[in-house]
Amino acid sequence: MNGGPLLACQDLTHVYLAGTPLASVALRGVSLSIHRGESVAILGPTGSGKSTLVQIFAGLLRPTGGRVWVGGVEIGGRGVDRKRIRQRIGLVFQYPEHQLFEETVFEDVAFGPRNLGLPAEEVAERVEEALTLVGLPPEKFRHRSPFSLSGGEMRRVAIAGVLAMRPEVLILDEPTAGLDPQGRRALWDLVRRLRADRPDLTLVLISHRMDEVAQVCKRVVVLHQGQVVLDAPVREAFREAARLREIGLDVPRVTDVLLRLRAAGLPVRTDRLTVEEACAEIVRALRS
Amino acid sequence: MAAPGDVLIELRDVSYVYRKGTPEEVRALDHVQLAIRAGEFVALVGANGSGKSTLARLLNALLLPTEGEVRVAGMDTRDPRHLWEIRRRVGMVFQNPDNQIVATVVEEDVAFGPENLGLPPEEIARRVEWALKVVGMEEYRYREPHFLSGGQKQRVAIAGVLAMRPEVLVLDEATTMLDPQGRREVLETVQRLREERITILLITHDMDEAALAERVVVLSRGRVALDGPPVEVFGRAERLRDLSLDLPEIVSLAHCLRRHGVRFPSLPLTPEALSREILRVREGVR
Amino acid sequence: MELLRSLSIGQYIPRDSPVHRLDPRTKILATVAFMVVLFLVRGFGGFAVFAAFLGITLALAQIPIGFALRSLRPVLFLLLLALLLQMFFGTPERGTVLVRVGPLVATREGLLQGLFVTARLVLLIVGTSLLTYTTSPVAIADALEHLLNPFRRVGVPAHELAMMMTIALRFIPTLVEETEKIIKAQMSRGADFESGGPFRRARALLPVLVPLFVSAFRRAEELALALEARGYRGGEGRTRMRQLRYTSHDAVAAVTFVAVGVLGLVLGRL
Repeated sequence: MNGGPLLACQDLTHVYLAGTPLASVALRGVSLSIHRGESVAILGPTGSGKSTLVQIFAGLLRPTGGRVWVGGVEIGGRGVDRKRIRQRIGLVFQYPEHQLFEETVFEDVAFGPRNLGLPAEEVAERVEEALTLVGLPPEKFRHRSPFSLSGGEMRRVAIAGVLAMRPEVLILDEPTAGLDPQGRRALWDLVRRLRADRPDLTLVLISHRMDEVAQVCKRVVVLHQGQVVLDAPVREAFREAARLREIGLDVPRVTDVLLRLRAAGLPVRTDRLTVEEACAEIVRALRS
Repeated sequence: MAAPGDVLIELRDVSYVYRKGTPEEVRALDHVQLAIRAGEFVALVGANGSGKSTLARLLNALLLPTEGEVRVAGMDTRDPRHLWEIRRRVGMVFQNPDNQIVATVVEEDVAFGPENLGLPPEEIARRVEWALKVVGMEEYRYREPHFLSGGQKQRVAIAGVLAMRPEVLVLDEATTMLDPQGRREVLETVQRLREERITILLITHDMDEAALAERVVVLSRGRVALDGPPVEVFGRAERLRDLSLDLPEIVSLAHCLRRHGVRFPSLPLTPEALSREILRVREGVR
Repeated sequence: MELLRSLSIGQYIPRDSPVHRLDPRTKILATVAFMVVLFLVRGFGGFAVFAAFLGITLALAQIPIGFALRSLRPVLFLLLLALLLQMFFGTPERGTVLVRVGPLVATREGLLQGLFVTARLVLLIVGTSLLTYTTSPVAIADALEHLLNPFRRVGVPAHELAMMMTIALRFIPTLVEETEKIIKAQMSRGADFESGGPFRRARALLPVLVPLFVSAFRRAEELALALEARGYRGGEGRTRMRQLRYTSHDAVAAVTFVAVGVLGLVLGRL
């Protein structure tokens, strides 16, 4: 255990289908480091390289250039024990409910721990723990078929499946994709609760939605066309709302209002992301 | 084609029951009375399980009502003789952009609908050209759908429906699976369709999207809970809260500002409208 | 897998050549006829004619010959096997012995026979590849539908078969991408697809196959609904935007092909 970053990369590049006429560059020289316990959001428009970056950290993809470390150990080369990395880094893909395959919830969540070669009692313990963490009481859900559950419940089972591996880093790729507002709220509640229960769990969130991400993350890394264009604490990053919109990120509607007001000469801050904050800011500006 | 203002779609005391007669019986729609007129832009909102998708599928006879009747331009959806005409007039685009495209080349997929209508090849080609132009996808006509973004795929799906010259376009949560860019593309396309005088039914759970429509119908547990212009429907904050529905963000912000003494003559629904009103207030103060 | 996903479906190489522009029905019929004639030819003379014909056609189609020959790489082993089998076991009667390997005897006649069989296989592979290089999968499906149409009366579901082909072609890249994603997701949970014996590896595929099938069925349901909404009710009364038309070029190609075929058969009997 050293004091260095848990995840780090330097000049990381990745080219899909390198050397063929269909080659495409996903990452161009990305350098960043994430320390244990941080909660980082990775934002960027589609095609900016977000998924590629996290898949490399998770040991699922070998980068074509640059260097990458997990827990101080370099993982970019050949002969690396990728299985161990995949246990330490839990990656939940978009629409994770599409990976469910077992006959019961218990079996599906147990898949990960079993692959680690753990004894049956420990597997059961982890499954219980994981299901509780995601808000699905084990007694109620253990025996049900994952395919009989609602969409939101299925997603929670999939997340539990990753949590049962007891990863050091949890990466969530667009966790609220396809959910309605109530579903999204429930999911962010889950993530907040996880943060509270597991303060040492490093969290990496990929999203399009700046406002939701701001509720949970303290730091924002913005990718655009395979490069880091911004790496700053949340509030600071959202002061650049106008610039973020230019590169294709969706700005919360209330922030949009603030940007328009500022453009028209009203001295308002634009790093306000929720209704209450924006309201207070506008009232303040009108009164001054 | 119906004249603007004519009743185009009518639901008369419609109920729909899933798994009728079994212990898992679910009444998805409960005595719904609804009329949609030609040229309208209607948003249909409601929580999951409110019956939105069921209602959508009753409009083009993909589902038939358990009780009551559904009429499209006067035709009863239960009458098998009218089935194909009804499906021509009421076009539908679904949530998953991938699972609507059947051909390997964009223009062939757009041609699919007219081909089903048995139209002559030259007419089909004309319609395909026109439809692609309306949705802004002419450049992509020879591409494989697999290489398109979500928003582009949905636009191709819309073109495929347009090529059948429908009177109504139903978008069943067509933006739910899209990224912000894709959602923007689809909504812009919808606005362009209004210029072609196509009646739009936008089913969504995004309240700010619903605020773009001229009329908002709120479904709750299979019944129509609210039905009116967005200003009216979103003015009823308490009622919406009772129905477990959100207000559009802009409306929430407007309400909050009102509570702090900022006055607006009418309820703004979009960022443009709200910022305009706020600036007007500032001018008034000066 | 990345390659499979990103490459356009099939081995179609789009070019604007006279071969590409031929009606796909002509090309399918020519390929079928080619395969038949290949098995009727008796001597190397005929193969020489066909090889020349294929070479010229490849050049006309702007497909580099090297590329076409590279397509033989996956079957190189098969070709070698065929050659060796013929060499050692081809001729039952005693012939001029060339080599002895233990109890196995290779004869000169066997060698010639082996080369003949191998040559035929090579011509077969290159000939059929020519079809897929110059004709898009969609065009092939279209052509098949047209060719099988007259047999609808006797119960051949021409339209349904063509629909199945097109839908399969349309969804292959999508399903490949999805499979990749599922594999990665399960790998991320420690699934191991590399180690273990064949039985173990087969079981390891379950976490990939089940979600894939579930997803495929869901897609099929949604697609069916979408097609019905667009007025699909089978092949009756359907028209097509793309019409297949025979042109004079097809007539020329047909005549050329017949001529080459006859020449090959004749020379092959010498």
